[in-house]
This record gives sequence, C-alpha cells and structure tokens, in this order.
Amino acid sequence: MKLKKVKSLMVMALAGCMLISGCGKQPSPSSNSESGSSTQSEAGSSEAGGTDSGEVVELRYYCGGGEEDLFNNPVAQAITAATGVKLKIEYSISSDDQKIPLMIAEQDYPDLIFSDDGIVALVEAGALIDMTDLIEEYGPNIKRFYGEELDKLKYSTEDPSIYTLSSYGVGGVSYKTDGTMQMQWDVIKENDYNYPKNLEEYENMLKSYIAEHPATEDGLETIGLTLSAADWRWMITLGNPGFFINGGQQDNGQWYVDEDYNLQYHFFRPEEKEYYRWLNRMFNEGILDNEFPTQTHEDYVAKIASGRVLSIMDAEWDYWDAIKILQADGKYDKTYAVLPFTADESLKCASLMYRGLITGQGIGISTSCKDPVLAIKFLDYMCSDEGMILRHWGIEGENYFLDEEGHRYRTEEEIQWEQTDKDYKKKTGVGNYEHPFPRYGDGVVDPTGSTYTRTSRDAVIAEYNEEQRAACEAWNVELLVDIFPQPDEFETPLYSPSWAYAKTAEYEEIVQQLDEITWSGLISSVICKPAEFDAKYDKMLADLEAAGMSRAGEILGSIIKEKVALME
Amino acid sequence: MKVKKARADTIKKQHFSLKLMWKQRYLLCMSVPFVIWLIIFKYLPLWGWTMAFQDVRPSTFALSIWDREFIGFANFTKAFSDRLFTQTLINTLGTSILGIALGTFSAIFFAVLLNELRFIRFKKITQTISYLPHFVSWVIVASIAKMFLNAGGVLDTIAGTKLNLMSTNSMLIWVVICFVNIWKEVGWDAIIYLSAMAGIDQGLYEAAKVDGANRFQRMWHITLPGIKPTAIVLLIMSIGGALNVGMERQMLLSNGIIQDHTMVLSWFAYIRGIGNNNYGVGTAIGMFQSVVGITLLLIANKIAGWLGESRLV
Amino acid sequence: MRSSVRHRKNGVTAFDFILVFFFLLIIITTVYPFLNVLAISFNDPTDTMRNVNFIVPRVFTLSNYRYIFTEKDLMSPFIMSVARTVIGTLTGVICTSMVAYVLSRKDFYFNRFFTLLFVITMYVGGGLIPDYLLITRTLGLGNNFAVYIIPGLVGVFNIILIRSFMEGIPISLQEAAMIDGANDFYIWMRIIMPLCTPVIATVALFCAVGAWNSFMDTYLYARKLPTLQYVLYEIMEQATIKIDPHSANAEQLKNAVSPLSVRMAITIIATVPILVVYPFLQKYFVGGMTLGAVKD
Repeated sequence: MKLKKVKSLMVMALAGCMLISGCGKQPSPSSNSESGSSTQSEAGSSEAGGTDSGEVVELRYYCGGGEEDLFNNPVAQAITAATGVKLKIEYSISSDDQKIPLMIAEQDYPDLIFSDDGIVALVEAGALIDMTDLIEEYGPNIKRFYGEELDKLKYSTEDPSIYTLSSYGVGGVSYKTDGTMQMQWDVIKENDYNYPKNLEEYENMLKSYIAEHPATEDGLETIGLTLSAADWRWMITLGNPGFFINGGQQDNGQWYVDEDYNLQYHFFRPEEKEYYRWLNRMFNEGILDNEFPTQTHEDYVAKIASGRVLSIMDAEWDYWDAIKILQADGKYDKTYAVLPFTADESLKCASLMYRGLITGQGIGISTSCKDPVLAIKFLDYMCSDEGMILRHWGIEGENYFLDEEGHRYRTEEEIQWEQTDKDYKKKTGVGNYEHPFPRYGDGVVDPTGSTYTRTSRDAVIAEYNEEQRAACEAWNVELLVDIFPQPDEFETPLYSPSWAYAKTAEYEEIVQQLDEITWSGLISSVICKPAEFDAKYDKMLADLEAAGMSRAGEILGSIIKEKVALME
Repeated sequence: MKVKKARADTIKKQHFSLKLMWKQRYLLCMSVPFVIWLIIFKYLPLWGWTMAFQDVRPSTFALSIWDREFIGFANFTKAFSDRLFTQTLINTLGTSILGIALGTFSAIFFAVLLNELRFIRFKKITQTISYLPHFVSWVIVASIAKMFLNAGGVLDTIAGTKLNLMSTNSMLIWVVICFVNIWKEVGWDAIIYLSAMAGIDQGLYEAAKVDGANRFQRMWHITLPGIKPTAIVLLIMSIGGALNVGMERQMLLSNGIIQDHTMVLSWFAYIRGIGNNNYGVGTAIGMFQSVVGITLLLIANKIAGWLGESRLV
Repeated sequence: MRSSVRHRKNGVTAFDFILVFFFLLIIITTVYPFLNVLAISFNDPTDTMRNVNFIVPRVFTLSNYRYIFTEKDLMSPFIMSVARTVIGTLTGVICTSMVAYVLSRKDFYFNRFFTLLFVITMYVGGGLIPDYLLITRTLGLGNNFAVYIIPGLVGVFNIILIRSFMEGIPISLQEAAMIDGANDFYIWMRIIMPLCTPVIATVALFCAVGAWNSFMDTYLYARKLPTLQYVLYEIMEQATIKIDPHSANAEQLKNAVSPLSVRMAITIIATVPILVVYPFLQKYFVGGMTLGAVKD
C-alpha cells in the first residue's frame, strides 16, 4: 500500500540511516559479513517428503520485517521432516528493507526471499527466477491452491514470468472490517441504533448529540470528528475516505479507474469535491476538530481515549491504543461501531468486496539458489493441505484435536495460552509461518469442513463485547459485518489491487510529487474559509495536472490493462 | 594584554628541501600515517560520485561503473528543475543562516554566563543538566516540542491566544525550528566554549581585577577574546555545512500546512534519491551540497584571514 | 590568596541572582524532556496513551524495562560497547591530538596542504555504500573488532578543536624545549598534551559519546559483535509489532508492548552510563573556571 511505503520511508529516516547504493565490482561471492552462507549437504536429493539419505538441506531465507527464528520449534521441525528443508532465516531489523540494495550490490542472494517494497528492485536486478516451469512440473499444490488466479501472479505481458508467490490470503471472507467511518456506540444508541445513510444524516446526528452533550463526564469538550493528518496518515484519514465514502471500490492508491481502464486521481470526481466542501464546512463550524492538521498522533489517540470524539475515519490498527484504554476504563459505549457509511443511500460501501488476489509482493526463489527444485517443492508443500494445517493449527494431538465429525478444534487452554503468552508463536510454531507464505484467507474451508485458519466466525462472535452484542440484536444480525454489502454483491475485478504492483521509476517519481501536492492541497482546502474553497481545491487539481498526473495515469493504466489481458 | 601565540604570518615561507624534510621528520611521522588513513577512508570512496553522472537504479546496481549508462549532467538538471528545488534551497539557506547565527550566539552566551556563575555546585549541576536534551533523540524532542507549540498546546495556553506557531506557512517556521534546535543543543555546544575558556590564563583575570575591571569588562575583554579563535573556527566550519542542515528535525516537526517551508536539501535529496530508488539523483544533490559547501568554507576562511582572525586553513 | 578574600567581601551581586534565576529556567526547560522520557519509561504503556505529557509516572511499572532485559541478553553487548568506547576513545584521542599538534605547527612544510586535505573530508562523502564495499570487500574488516576502531580513528572536527587550543599555547614554551634538544614527538607528549587537558577532556567526551551511541556500523559491518546500542535498536524495532487487530485476539493485543514506552526505556538505558561517566570528565573543563573564583 502506498502509505506503507511512505511509512517505511519515515521509519527508515528515523532510524537515521541513509543507504545509497553503489556498484558491485565483479559479481564475486563476498566474504559475508552478515549471518551465514547456505550450507548444503552433498547428497541432498529433492524428494518432497524427505531426502533419500535423510540429509537435511538448509535454505537461506530472507524475510523482510521478520524476527529472529532458529526454525527449531515443533512445527518447524515437522516441516523439515516433511520437506527435508531447514530454513536459515535472515531478517531485516526494521520494517523497511534496507538489506535489499546491499544484497543487489553484492550480488549475493539468499535462496528464498520475501519482501514487499523490495520486490521491484529485485526483479529489475534480475535476482529472482521465473517459477512458471517449476510450478508446472513440481508444484501441483501450488497450482491447485491458486486455481484461476494463478495467472495473476505473472509479472507483465512483456515478461509473463512468475517471480513471487503472493503473501496475501487467497479467497476468504472478512469477519471484521474497518468500514468507511466509525461512530461511537453512544451516538448510535441515542439514535435508536440508526446509523447515518448520507452526509446530511451524519451531520445532524453529530450536531444533535453535541447539543445534548457538549462535554464528557470529565468536562472535556465533545468533538464531532477528528483526523490524524499531520503525517503520512493523511492518506488514510483524509484522502481515502473521500473515495470510499463516495462509493469508491478497489484500493488503487489515489486512482479512480473507470470501465475503460482510464485513470484519474479520484479527487477529480465531482462528488468528491462536494464531499470536501462539506468537510470544509464542518471544519468552519467546529464539528471537525480544528487541531487536526497539526496534532501529533499521540494527541489524536489521547483524544479518542478520553471518549470525547464522536466519530473518526481510520483503520483500527491506527487507533487501537485508544481502544485499549477505553476498554480498560470500562467505557465500551465510547468505543466505535464500524459503519458502511456512504455519502448517499444510492452508493454502496465496498469494504467487504473481495479484491482478488493481491500480487506483486511475496516470496521468490533467487538466482543464487543452487537447488531451485528443492525450493519449489518446499513451497509446494507449504501450499498443500497438510502444510497449511500444520502452519495454522500445529501438530495434531498437541495443539489441536479432531472431534467426532473430523473437525478441528482447540482446547480452551491452548487458546488461552495463545492469548496470554506473546511468545506462543515462537515456542510452538503455530501461526509463525503464516505470513508471508501462501495461505488461504479466513473462512475458507478444507475438504473436512474445518477452516484452514484458526479464525472462525464463531470465535469472532464469541469475542464481542456488550455493546457489540447489543447492536447485533438491534440490527438483527449475527456478525457485525453483516450490515455491510456482502462480497457476493460485487464483481471481482480482473486485476489485483494496483498498490502492490511493481511500477516504473518514472511513475513513482511523479506520484511522489502528486502525493505532496494532494496532502497540502487537501488540508488547505479544508481549513480555509468556505468562500475560498473552490479556488483552493481547483488549484490543487490544476497543480496535479501540471505535475504530470495524466502521464502517471497512462503508465499505471497500461499496466492494469496488461494484467486484465493476462486474465482474459 | 594579548598573549603571544604562534601566528602564521610570523613564519617565513620555506622552500622544499630534503634537509627540511629530515628536520621535520618527527612531524612527518606523526602525520603521514593519518594522511594515508584519510586517503583510504575518505578519498577513495569518492568514486561513488560517478553515480551522479549515471543512471543508477536497482536494476543497474550490479554493473560496474563503466557499464552503466553515462548521462552527463542529466541528474543535476533533473534535481535543479524540480518543482520544489528553488524553495528547498531557500529554506535550507534560511534555516542555516538563522541556525548558525542564533546557535553560535546562544552557545557563547550560555557558556559565558555559565562561566560567570559563582556557585560551583550549582554551576556543575546546571551544566550537566543542560546537555541532557542532546542525548534525547529527535523523535522524542520533536514530539515534546509539538506539544508545546501546537495549536492548543502549552505556549498557546500561556499566551492565551492562538499563536499558530506550527500552522503558519511562512518563514516563521524556520525561527521555530531554530529555537527547538537551540533548546536541544545549546548545553552541548557550550561545552566546547567552556573548555576553551578553561584554557584562558587565569592570571589575566587576576590582573584585570587588580586594574579595577568589573565583571562585564572582564567578560568583554578577556573571556570573549579568549574564545574568539575557537568561535571563528567553529563558525567557518558551520558555514561550510550550511547546505547540509539536518533532515531529521525538519521531517519530524513538519506537517501538511508548513511543508513548503520545512523542506531542506538533505531531505529533498533523500526523497528524490533513495525514496525513488534513483541513486543517481541522490548522489548528484549530495555532490552539489559538498561542492557548494566547500566553496563557502573557503570563502569564509579567506574572509576570516582578511579580517585578521585565525583561519581554519 | 589575597584576591579571594577581597571577593568574599564584595559578596554576591544582583547580577549573580539574575544568573541563578536564568539558569534555573534553563534547568527546568532542559530537564523537562528528560524527566518526561524517564516518567514514560516507568509508566504502564496503555495508560501512557491517555496523555503523553507528564513527568511523574501515573501507573508505575517496571514492565518496559523487564521487557527489554528479558528480550535479549544485554550483558555481552554491554561489555562490547564498553570495550569499543574505551579503546576507541583512547586511540582516537591520541591520534587526533597527534595530528592536531602537527597541524598547529605553522613551520611545518605541509601544514596548509594537510589541513586542507583533512578539512575537505568533512564536507564530502561518496555515500555509504562505497564505504561499505571498502570496509567489507577491500579491507575485509567485516565482523572484526578493528572495524570499531580504525574507521573512526580520527575526527577532523576534533582535530580542529584541539589545534585551536594548542595554538593558544605560548610558542616560547616550544621554542625553549627545541633549544634544549627535544624532538617534536617529545614536545607533543610531554609539553603540549599536559597543557591541553580541557580540550582533551572535551574531545574524549565527544569520542566516547560517539562510540557509545553508534549502532549503524554494527548494523552494516559487525552483526556478530553486537553492541548495546545495536541490541537496543533491535529490541525497539521488534517492539513495533505489526499487529492486525482483525486477526489478533483481544487478549493478544492487550499484551502487546507499546513501542513508545519501550523507546523511552531504551533512551534511559542508553543515556545513564554517559551520565555516570560525565562528572569525572567534567572537572577537567570546569576546573579551569574554579581558579580565582569563590570557593563555596
């Protein structure tokens, strides 16, 4: 996702390191100054199912953003027993892939590589092999696993190689979502559990609640809506809502893609201009927190935690700290309902839409790997049912059991253990090898009728707090997300979300500038006087054009068209 | 009353001769190894500058220098014609000049006053505490600073009105950043001046007191001149670094409103360079900073010489 | 001494009080961020998010520190840090002052040339990867303790500092020694150095702090020889858990450690040793100020 990339930039800078690349002299294997080199036993045959001589082969595996792991927990050992492969895991410390440029400069790659942002660089440097033939010959499980979406893994029409296996879940449903807007339960309850269906209702609900309750019990002023927009988070709270609240679908960064696959920055849509005009009015009337452009993220969280903020537009992981506090204080009615809010009843909220397999990031086999067949068989095993269950559930008889119908279940103790011990994954290996290896999404069911992942509908319902349960009753649903338009109401697009694609440098350079313009443009449009809004907003649009938006749109558009062509 | 120091102008110009080298053999032995060290560690890596003239991206990392595409000054043109470049340059210079001027002044002011403090224990404690912010990372300092400066923050509360310190998109933000920097660094920067003051012959103070000079006169005529050589030299060095003024602090203190005035060259080089996987441009900007920096340095050095002050080189 | 008696009679003036007041203000404003960091480090992470501005912990806890100390072994990195700091500072100070002395001798033939050579390097750099290749490939210093010492041997800024100080030493001293037949090395070691205590102490402080705080070189070149800072940095990065609330359970999330609190605790752990050592160095440059001033 774009914002993740920006965030990684920030994190990297904060870590104070600037790695500028240089060229390698001759591509000779260097004396590694980092951890280990791959050790390979001579006699290792490549049967997936153990080597003939019982030798275990070590494959170097680099995991961007991973953790130290000796690959000797029970699950790991079981994987080794089944594949004959032991992973020697290297990882990058920070969540950003600083090691990738170094790897490329030295031309020394681990056998398996996982990266998100670094894949582009690796492919361009020719570091990853094309797995198409290997999958054809040695990867029956991989084929079965991806099914029709296998072709989405191809890089481009020019280069239809499969470089990576996607690190995102295949299929599956979401039992939880962030929706487009979140509103306090208290506010909804005062409205008899009716939630707003358009901008006008939303505004009225906020205003009437504020009129009734101008301050919280602690004497703090009630705020209608606040946003965290002083850093890269503007994309989530300020930029994206404009799109999603106005019926936007697939997350393509800031792009709006029409039926002919022509692209434009979504801010050009007239309905969005009206949305931001509305936001501007909210700002000037004091409903939208006047401190939003400068407040720090900690301030933002503190405000939410105090229970004074009636609504927000954010992703849960971003304000989760505040929820913890509210729960600790027992203020469940000040926590938030996740809503399928749209600017108008006629628009559909697309939060639950299945966007298709997210490609472009994932695990690949490098050109330095001496035994790619072994590697593909390893990956194939990970895609098999046996491998999946092992990774998600653990060892039968230890981490899970089978009931009379053959369904998997876990004991209370096991569940408790996982919830209370933060090292559970490391100790048992259960859940430790999910991301970034290929896996199913939640809710996908195996031939025995049990889900592949440990998350199930019932588990989610069981965790609802009192507010959430009351809402389920009031709305007459079992699962809170049932109030959202369901996945089957949407068509899966032929192309996967574009934020994960490898894009050209020219594109990235233009988009970087577009984001800069959008950020300051949106903020100045929202905080100015209503009379100045049109001028400011239009200026932003003009600046975007001037900075090369059409060119960037063409580039991405052609990539998308290619992806579509690959699928047809 | 000035102490006689070794001044460059009192040494007559020498001519190279082996005899001279032999005479200065100790000096040579004490310095040449380090010059070699310098060449290895500082000058050899400069081959990296060739990247400024090439198209360097992840796809071309692995090639050797000669194989990569040579694009002349294209990286430079690209950087200079960037939408943000001119403003960035202005921001950099503005922030630098303010920073150097105010920073130097405040460090000296701080050191001189601290020197005057009579109560030894208090002096020691003050000095120890004053450099603490230096160790606190910018991440933390920035968040504390924002707490003070933001709309609705501490300063606004004290002043009773909205000062808009962090939301005015103008040169005011340079001043604000400058002050935050001073707050963080003044204690640490003062250490250098304090140690310079410790090198002043204490007998001078005694003599001055005997002559009837009061405190301020002693400060003005003894302390300040005593640290002048150090101050000048530090000033020259700071001028050389004018274009390199930090990146971390601008990044952390910036927000959507004041962006236009917080972007500085180092940050710019970062986002247009590594941030775009375009190492050629990043190196080009870095080279630009170095070349201009050294030029400024040499000019400042020359001026100092004309003014009769001690020179850096 | 006669003059000190005179001072005591003159007593304390209004100016002194102004000074004290001024510095009290300074102390309060500069100690505040530090106290804030200290307080957050001892505060319960969840509670901290309510409001990050406080200097007294609201909900005292040692959990942040406990997390750090149990997450990784800190003892051997600590020893490694001490080793590199001590050795690095000693070698650095000696080498730097040696060069500084040579550059302070205006009669040295190569004086201007060498000075220029050194000074220029302060403003140029080929980038970190040429450095990386130099150290790991060309010189093969990867994972070698020497990589903590040799690349940072001489700091040009420090050379200039020491040189400035040395230039303030009366040349008559040196001339006298030369007449007596002393060689330059002897002069440097026996005559000049002892007179440079304040600046040497300052440079020693700079070198020590620099060595103590650095972790990038460990990250790039010497992962097998971790220093304290590097390990702390690792811990901090790993504390920034990418938890997706959608797939994690409520309990798991409750137990997740907040990166902010961990970062604060790390700052404290990293800074305390410096605070402990500093007073020993302080006397060398505060010392000069106490001569001729009132003794409390």
